[in-house]
Amino acid sequence: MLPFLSREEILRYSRHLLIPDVGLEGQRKLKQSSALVIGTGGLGSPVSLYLAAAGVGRIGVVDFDIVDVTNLQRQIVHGTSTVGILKVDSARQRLLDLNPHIQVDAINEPFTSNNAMHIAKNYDIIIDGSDNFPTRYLSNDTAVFLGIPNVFGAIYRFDGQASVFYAAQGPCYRCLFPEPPPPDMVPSCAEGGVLGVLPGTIGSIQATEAIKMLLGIGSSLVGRLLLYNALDMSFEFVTLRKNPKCRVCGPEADIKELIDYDEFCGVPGREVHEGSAGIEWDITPVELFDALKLSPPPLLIDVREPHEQQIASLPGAINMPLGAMAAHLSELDTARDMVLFCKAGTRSSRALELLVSAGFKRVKNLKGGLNAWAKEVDPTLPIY
Amino acid sequence: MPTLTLPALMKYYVNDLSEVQITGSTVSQAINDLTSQYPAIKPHIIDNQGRLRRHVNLFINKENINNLNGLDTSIEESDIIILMPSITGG
Repeated sequence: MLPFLSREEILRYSRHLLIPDVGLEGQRKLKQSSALVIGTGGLGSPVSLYLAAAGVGRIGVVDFDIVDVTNLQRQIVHGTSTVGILKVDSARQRLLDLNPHIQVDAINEPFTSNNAMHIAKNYDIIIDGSDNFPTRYLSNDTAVFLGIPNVFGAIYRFDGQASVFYAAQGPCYRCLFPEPPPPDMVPSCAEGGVLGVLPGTIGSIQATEAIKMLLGIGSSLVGRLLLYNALDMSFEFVTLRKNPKCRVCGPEADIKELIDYDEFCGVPGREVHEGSAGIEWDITPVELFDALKLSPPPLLIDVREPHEQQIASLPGAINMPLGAMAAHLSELDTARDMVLFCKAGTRSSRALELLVSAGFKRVKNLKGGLNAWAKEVDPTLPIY
Repeated sequence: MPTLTLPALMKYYVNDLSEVQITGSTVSQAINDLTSQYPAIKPHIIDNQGRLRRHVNLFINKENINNLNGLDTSIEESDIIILMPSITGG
C-alpha cells in the first residue's frame, strides 16, 4: 500500500501531480522510495537536493568529512555557515530545510567493504557521487550483489560521464572498466581542478535517472554512457553492453562478495593522501627553510602543472610536472640534494617514489606541500 | 577521413582540439597516426609496453571496440571514433 500524501504535500508537489506520467500515484511511489547517495560533494550535492525536492521519502547521505571552504565552489548543498561541521549533518540540515516531509539518514562513516552491504541494503537505489576508484568499484559491486541500480556519474575539469549500471537489465561498471587505472594515471579534482558548475549538470542528470527509475518511467541510461564536454557543450551517447566475462555480474562471475578495493586499485596508503612520503623521505617546511640557507642549497623541483606557478611558488624552483617527469629524469643530477614539492604533498610523494625507483637517493618530499609552507613558514603565500 | 573525438581533458596534448582527422584502416593504425601527429598525448593513452592503457576506451560509431574486433577493428572513411578515458571526480 503506497503512503498517502498530506494536504501540504499535495500542494508542494502540485507540479509533479500535473504530469500524467507522475500523478498522485507516482508521487506516492516517490514517498515510499529510498535512495542512498554516496558522497555529499560536487555530485552528491545536486543529486540529494533534487531527490529531496522531488519528495523521495528517505535519502541516505554517506560521507566522512567536514565542510571546507574549498568545497563551496561547487558543493551547493553546503554553505559558509556550515564550514567546519560534518558534511552529512550539513547536507541533512539543508535537505530538510528544502523538504521537511522526507527522512534524511546522515551516515558519517567511510563507505567500505565492512559496512557497505549493511548500509545499502536499506535502500532502493544507489547514486554514486564518490570521487575515487575504490569507492566506485565498491558501490558497483554492492549494487550488483543487492540487485539494485547504481546511478553513475563522474567529472573532471570540463568532462562529465553518466550512466545507470543495473545488472538485472544491462551492464555494470566493471563491464565497462574491468580493471582500475594505474594509481597515478587519473588525477583527482583536488589535483587537476573542476569547473564548479560541472557536477551540477551531471548530478542533475543522475537525479533525473534516479527519479525515473523509482517511478518506472521513460528510457533510462542503462546500456548507454553519456559523455558531456562542457567546453564544447556537446553530449555524446555511446553504447554499453554486458560483458559476458564480467567477474561480478557475468554468468560465470567468480567475485561473490566485496573485496579489498584499495588493494584492487593499488591505492597508496593514507600517508600519501596527507602529503607525506614517509618519515624517511619527508622534509618539513621549517626544515626546508633552514636547508635553503646552506651552500649549496638543495635543488627545488616543482612537480605541479606550469599554470599553478602563477598562484604560488618558491623562488628558484625548476618546474618538472609529474606527468612528464619520467621522460626528464636524465636531466637531474643524482649527486645533488633535491626537494620535490607540489600543492599539498600528494603529487610530490608520487614523484619521489618515481625518483627512488629510478635510483635517486638524495631526494626529499616537502611534507604537506606549498600549503604547509604557507601555514608554517610564509603566511603571505596563498593557500589553494 | 575518419574523425577522432577527444574529451576536454586531452585537449592540452592536441593543440586544444576536440576533434582530429586521422588516417588508418584499423583502430591500431589510427592510434599510431594520432600519436605521430601529437606525440604529447602518447604517454596518456599508451603504456610502456606499447599497449592501449587499460583505463582508456575507444568507441567506433558508438560501439566499444571490445565488442568489435579490438584494436584490429576496421575503420571506414566516415567513421567517428571516440576516445574515452576513465575519470573519477565527484
